[in-house]
Amino acid sequence: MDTSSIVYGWNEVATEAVLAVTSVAIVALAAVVPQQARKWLSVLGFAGLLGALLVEVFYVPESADTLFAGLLSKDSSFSAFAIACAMLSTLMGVAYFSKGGKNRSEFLAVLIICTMGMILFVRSNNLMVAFVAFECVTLCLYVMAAWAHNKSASLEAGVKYLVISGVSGATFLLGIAFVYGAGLATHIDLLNFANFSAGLYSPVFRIGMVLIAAGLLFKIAAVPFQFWTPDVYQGAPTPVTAFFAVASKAAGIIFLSRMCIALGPMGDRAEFAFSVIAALTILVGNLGAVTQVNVKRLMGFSSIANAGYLLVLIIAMMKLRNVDEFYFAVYFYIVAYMLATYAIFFVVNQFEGYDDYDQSISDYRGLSRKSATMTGSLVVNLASLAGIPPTAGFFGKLLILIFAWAAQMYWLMGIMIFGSVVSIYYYFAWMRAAFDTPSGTEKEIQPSISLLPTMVALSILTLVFSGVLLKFYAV
Amino acid sequence: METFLYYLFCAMCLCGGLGVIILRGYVNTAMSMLVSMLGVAGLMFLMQAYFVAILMVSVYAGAVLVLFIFVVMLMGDTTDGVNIWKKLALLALWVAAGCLVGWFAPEMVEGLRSSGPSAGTSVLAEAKNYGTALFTEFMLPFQIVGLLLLAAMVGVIAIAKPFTVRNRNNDMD
Amino acid sequence: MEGLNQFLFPALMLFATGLMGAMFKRNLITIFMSIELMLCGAMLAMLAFASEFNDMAGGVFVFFILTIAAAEVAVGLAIITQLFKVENTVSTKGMNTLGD
Repeated sequence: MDTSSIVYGWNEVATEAVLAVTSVAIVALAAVVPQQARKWLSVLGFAGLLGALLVEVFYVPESADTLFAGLLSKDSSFSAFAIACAMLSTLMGVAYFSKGGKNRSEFLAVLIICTMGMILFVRSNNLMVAFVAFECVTLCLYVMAAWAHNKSASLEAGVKYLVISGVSGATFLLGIAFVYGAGLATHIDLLNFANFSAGLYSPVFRIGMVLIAAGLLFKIAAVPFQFWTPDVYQGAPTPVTAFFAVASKAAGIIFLSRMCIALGPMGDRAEFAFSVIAALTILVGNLGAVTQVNVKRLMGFSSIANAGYLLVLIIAMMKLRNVDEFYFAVYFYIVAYMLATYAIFFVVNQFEGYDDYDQSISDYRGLSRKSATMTGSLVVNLASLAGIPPTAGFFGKLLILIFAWAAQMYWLMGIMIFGSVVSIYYYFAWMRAAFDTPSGTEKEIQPSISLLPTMVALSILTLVFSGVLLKFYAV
Repeated sequence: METFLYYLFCAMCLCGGLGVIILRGYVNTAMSMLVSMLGVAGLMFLMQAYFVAILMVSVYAGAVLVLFIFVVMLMGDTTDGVNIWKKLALLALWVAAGCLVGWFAPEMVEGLRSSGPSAGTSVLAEAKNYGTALFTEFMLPFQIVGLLLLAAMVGVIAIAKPFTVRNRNNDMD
Repeated sequence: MEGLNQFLFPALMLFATGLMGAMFKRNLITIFMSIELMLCGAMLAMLAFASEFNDMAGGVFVFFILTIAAAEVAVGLAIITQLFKVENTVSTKGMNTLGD
């Protein structure tokens, strides 16, 4: 075989290469660096993430349309999002590990590899790369979920996620095997997305797609595969929970939408099935959260509901086929979701107790007297998640509703509005607890100097982020 | 001869799989999984994918199962405590699944583009093809798997280390 | 049976067996072994299609799946061992730290 004819295009994965080099450097240095200098490894990790972000934004190599002989696409807008999530989780990790935790630098190395895997997962154009990156992400995630390995909560969360992701990964894989077996093209192109639209007539392909969709629905925690979410969110360390809730879900959603775009018009039956799934997800997520008092479980249910809203957006896109506006709307929504969720998890992380797994809403009583910044952030971001104007969350939901209206999905719009109204109830219950009188049994807060400025910045962004819309829709 | 081998390996594969979910005791299930893996390797031999078959035996049966046995030995060979009715139900479900798969599989695969049995050796038979493919076209997933293994190693060591009390003077991070 | 079906049938049966084990068994180690069976079944299906089309991509994919499955087993067993050390049981009946 003529090896000189293969074009690798390593320039295109410069961001991922920077991330990989950073994590390898952290692991290697952690072995040789003396104990006192360990905290510089966190700084190195953060610098590596920042470097990757800069490379992503400023380095635009020229290349062909598809890279690595068709394995990756050029569109890498998810990278900036994922790296931002990783940086926020790192900041949270500083506060989390200062409360008592081990192996901070190795945690950072695994987090960076997870981010790299997520970026490649979303960028992939070929199911083989998608599967390998998917497994990389899930492996890193259940390693991180079990990181607090002296507490049974964290270990149980890790084991639950392990079993669930094992089953879903195997299902995803069988789906890929069937898609491969449909025989749409030859050799490496067999699994390329570009060839999918030709395959909808073959039953093997359709079964494969159903299985792949099942595997992906596990990842984004949609009904009927959502039952792992509250438990795993509760048990995992707080920075990992935030990463789960934002980055992992966003990666799953964007990959699912890319596959739906590649499939072309799918017909009424598939859209009906997706609509039912989206409706059930919204209902289960919102109604399940109403009775929750545990803070992290409540965020778990809230993330299930948000997966439902994003599924509504994907279905609307499948009907309207307006890809560019869809990408704008979905990125707007997930950035708004990221700002709000991360700020709330910053607040969650600043309570005492090494393990936040039993933190409940009643621990927040009297917060308004103890710390004004934390209360302010909590109120603003919970309002954003509930969809109260003028926060970014409101405009995100409005965009989804506009899409749904244009696609004439009135039932789904109704369910979404119903879900939002229900969500106002439980978010406001949380907010109200912050203004209640304390009863003396709450946990102490430990405001962390590394988290406060970022939290304030995230809250301000939540309020003003909607200004981006003016730029695009100014009359 | 080939038909006999096919039925033998198929039986090993399926009965081993059934044994994993029906048998009591860890070592029994691990051994039946070993039989199943050897059956799968045999089936791969029949498909002329010799390299993958040997890898299967050495990685799956040789490493993965040994790891399982190690862990099982650490925990003590306890029984599952599942009653006989549940096992019969599982067996019945298994037979039903077998009928389903046997019924639907031929319908699914009819009409697939197929070149028929190839004249010479299959392209999967030679190890050289794997090497060429891995280093030319599939370089990117190869590198990702390398980093995945790094993350797995770091994770295993971080999780399995004893969790010592954090000493203030000795900032063991 | 002949042709493609003869290798697809054991693959799908292995997958179904593993799925049943993962859904219905109570013991973490057995569940984990069932997950490995599922991966094995999917691998065999992939290889069956690859040998039918005489195509290399399937073989290389099986290579990757083997690696990933081995890494997953290593990490999974580490977590299960640690869980056993902390909780002294590997039965899912006894795991109720998380939950309402």
